[in-house]
Amino acid sequence: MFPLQLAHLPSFHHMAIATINITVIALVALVHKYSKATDQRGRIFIAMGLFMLTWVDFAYLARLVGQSSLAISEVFLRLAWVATPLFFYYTYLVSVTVIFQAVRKSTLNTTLLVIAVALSAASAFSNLIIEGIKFTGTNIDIQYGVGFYPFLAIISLFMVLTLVPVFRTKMTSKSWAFLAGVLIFYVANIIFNISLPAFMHVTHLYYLGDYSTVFLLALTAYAIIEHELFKVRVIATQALTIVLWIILFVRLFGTTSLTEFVVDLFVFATSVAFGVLFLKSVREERVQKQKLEELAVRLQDMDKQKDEFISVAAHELRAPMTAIKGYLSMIAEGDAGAIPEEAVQYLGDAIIGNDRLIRLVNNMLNVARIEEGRLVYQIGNVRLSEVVRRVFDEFRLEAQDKGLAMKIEIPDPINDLVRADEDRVHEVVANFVSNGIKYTDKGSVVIKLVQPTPQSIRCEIVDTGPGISKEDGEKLFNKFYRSESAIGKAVGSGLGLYISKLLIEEFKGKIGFTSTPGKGSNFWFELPLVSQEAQSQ
Amino acid sequence: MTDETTNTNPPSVAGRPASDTSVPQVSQPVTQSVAPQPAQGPLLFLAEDDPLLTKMYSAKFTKEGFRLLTAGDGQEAYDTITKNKPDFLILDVMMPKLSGLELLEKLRQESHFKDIPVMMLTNLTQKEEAQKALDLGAKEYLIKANLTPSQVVEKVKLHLGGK
Repeated sequence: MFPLQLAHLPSFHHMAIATINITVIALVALVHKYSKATDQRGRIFIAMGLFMLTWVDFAYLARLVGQSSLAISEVFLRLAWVATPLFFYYTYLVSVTVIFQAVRKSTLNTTLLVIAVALSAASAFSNLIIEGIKFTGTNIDIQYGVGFYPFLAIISLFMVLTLVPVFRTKMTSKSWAFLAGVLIFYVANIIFNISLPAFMHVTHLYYLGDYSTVFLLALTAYAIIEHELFKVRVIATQALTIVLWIILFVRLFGTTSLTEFVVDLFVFATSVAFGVLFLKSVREERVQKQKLEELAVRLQDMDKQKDEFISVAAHELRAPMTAIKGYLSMIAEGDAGAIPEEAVQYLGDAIIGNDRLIRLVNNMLNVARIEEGRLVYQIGNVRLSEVVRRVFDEFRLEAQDKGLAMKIEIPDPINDLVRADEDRVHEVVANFVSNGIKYTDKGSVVIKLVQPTPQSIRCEIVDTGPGISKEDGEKLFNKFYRSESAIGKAVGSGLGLYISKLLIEEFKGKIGFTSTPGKGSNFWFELPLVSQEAQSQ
Repeated sequence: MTDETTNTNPPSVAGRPASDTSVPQVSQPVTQSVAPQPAQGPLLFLAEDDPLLTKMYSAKFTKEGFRLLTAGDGQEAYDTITKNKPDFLILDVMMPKLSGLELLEKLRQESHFKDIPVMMLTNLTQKEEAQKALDLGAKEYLIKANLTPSQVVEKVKLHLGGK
């Protein structure tokens, strides 16, 4: 617990080595835990980590004992250099598998492995790479053999081969992370392990090249288990927490007094406790997120099923309704011969009822379609006055039965040509009139056509009903909103106004209402007129 | 309406001069044997798989003076059309064997039927189907449930040039 003083190495090295070892072991554990059993990359990563530790640790040990025993130091150094080519080889393998998920047995891979092993063996057992070492007070000075430059060249080749797969495929966050790690390591390596020693004979800085491997390892770990830690925020918090732990732990070895040690120990212990809780909550969040995603998928499925069901149901209902509509109209038009006056009336009512049924089914089916913009529209030039007159005829009897006066006010002349689907416009007007009659108990329902500007036309349905309160008014055009009638029960499907709004907006118009509670309401919509030039067709 | 098994008769059509008060009966699969009528009015073709609706439209069209052939599924429709070369096609979309759109696509690949006027008469309200039909050169995409038979006849007359 008290400082270990060895070989006059600055304490930075001890801290760095300890941190690196702990980090690498942690990373290996993480990757082992989170990578799938079948994922070869987990095992490749472990190999990478072990060789890295071997390299860095033995280089460190070599420096450490260099002063006391040059022979042992040389052994350690050679062992470090044995690990180096193999580390580069496994880094290359990771590059291949980060992209391709599995190592394909290829002659290239085997050849590279053989080369790496050969370099390792040469470093260990011959003087080709390392002839000997000298200790110069604080550093190791390596005497390189004739094979040193070829060694560097081959290592450089490994580096290039490692970068190639990364660039050949589409860059994802995984590949970016790995690339970043590789580049940091390579740059440090090229500077401190290759260029400086080889060309400037500066050998005392190559530990920086060694230590930069930790970045490579960390980013590789991320690339491999990214699917578990996909959010940068999550990884960052986890990583920072772990780094904090490591630093606080390693600090313990640098304390100089008992009190300081106790305080540091306490700080470390508390940080571990907090850290664990924090990491737990972060993981919880991840789990919740996943659950949400699953629910969203299920919801989408159910939505699709509902849509399909409605489609099928409405389509099936339409056939008999079409037949009824067809035959009623044919009889009413006299196709089966002359019919008595009363029968004409009854037929008229039957047709009204059936049309209402068809509208209802259409509403239920169409609402989804309209929302998605998938409804079939038959767009043409429509004379609003004609539509309005037809609706008037349709509902005249109904109003009469309820004791309401129904009037129609169309100025003459009026420019009322709009571009829309006639049936849909009819639907909107009918919806307004139907509501007006439904919610008015006494007085009148008046249909008006007004020209607010030369480019637009406005249709108003004014009733003398109970009016609409402000709260109701805001929700009126919402889907499935049904306000209470005078009887106190919600009437209707709640889709009429919602669909009307969607339709008018589809035809580039505006829709709305004004109302005075107790006096009545005015439901209106406006549509742009067909321009004069277009009209002369 | 033609039925290949009753080929001993000259081609049977459903058309009646004003003096004929009998109403032709229709049943599935479409068979019809009526006394041959003098050719009058354009020859329409209706593809519709619901016999209830076939009966209704047949009654209306013949009342209006059109000659009419019908079929209850896509394959029969194709055979009838290629055999009889009608002046105007009215096609349902949802039909067994071959859908109305598939049928139209097939017909458009044959030189004689490349330009034959076609109207879709269906209860399918998907925009995609309508667009496809228009792309295949259909003059109209009509929704059955929204129109009375009279209105359908008006559309036919409109596209036949008011004959």
